[in-house]
Amino acid sequence: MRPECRQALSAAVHNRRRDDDMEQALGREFRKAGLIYHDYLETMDEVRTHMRKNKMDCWDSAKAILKEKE
Amino acid sequence: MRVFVVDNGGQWTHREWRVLKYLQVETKIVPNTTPFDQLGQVDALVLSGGAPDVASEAGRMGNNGEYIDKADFPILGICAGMHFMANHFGGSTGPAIRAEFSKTRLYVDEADGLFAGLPKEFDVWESHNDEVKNVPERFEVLAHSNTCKVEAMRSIKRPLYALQFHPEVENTDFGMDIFRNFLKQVEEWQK
Repeated sequence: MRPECRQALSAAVHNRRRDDDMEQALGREFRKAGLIYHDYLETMDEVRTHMRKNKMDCWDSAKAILKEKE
Repeated sequence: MRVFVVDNGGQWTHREWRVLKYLQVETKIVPNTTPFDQLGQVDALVLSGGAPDVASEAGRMGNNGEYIDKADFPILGICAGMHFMANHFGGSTGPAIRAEFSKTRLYVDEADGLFAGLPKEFDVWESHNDEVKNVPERFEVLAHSNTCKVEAMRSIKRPLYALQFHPEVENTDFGMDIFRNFLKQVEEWQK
């Protein structure tokens, strides 16, 4: 994952609003960072793949990915 | 009620607009590059069809992702609008087993919502090269055909609906009723 995408993922986790879907939170941070939609899809795909593989929810997967890459 | 049609370059975008107009909805066609905040006060959106291969050319779908993320109102995706929605939520799309430009028999699996009051099967008009291959999590299939297993789907969590066929063309039976049912969903959502 590119550093700017990782940063946006981290912001999505930290700035999560009540009732936010991961898609909503990540999309908001990607737009704020000026990243393109393709980057969003790739990052979201990584989160979903991790989520399915480890049977977690998407927020826990995002946190785990961020931790792994620290 | 105000329902805008987001133009993704589809050949029948104006027909979607016309059907909404006929149903006495305040409507206009807006380019898919319009920022969400510039849409103003709307009650729902229709994401039109379009030429892009959504899986590889999502960039050509403009701000559809922003609309889906930010909308706290119902959205109906048609054809490419449906494909975009599927990819956005982690489903997948790809070339249809058989590209179609023809009438197809639709089989309704979930008779409430968009298909309320309609027969369990009827003819619809198809015009597509791609189709939804995998339905996103938290979505359910509402209808299928012999050639396409996902003709209609909806989000379980949010008021998001999507159709593979084209309810806006005259060759689709009950097309007007499907739009009318969508507008009922919009009314329900506002309560």
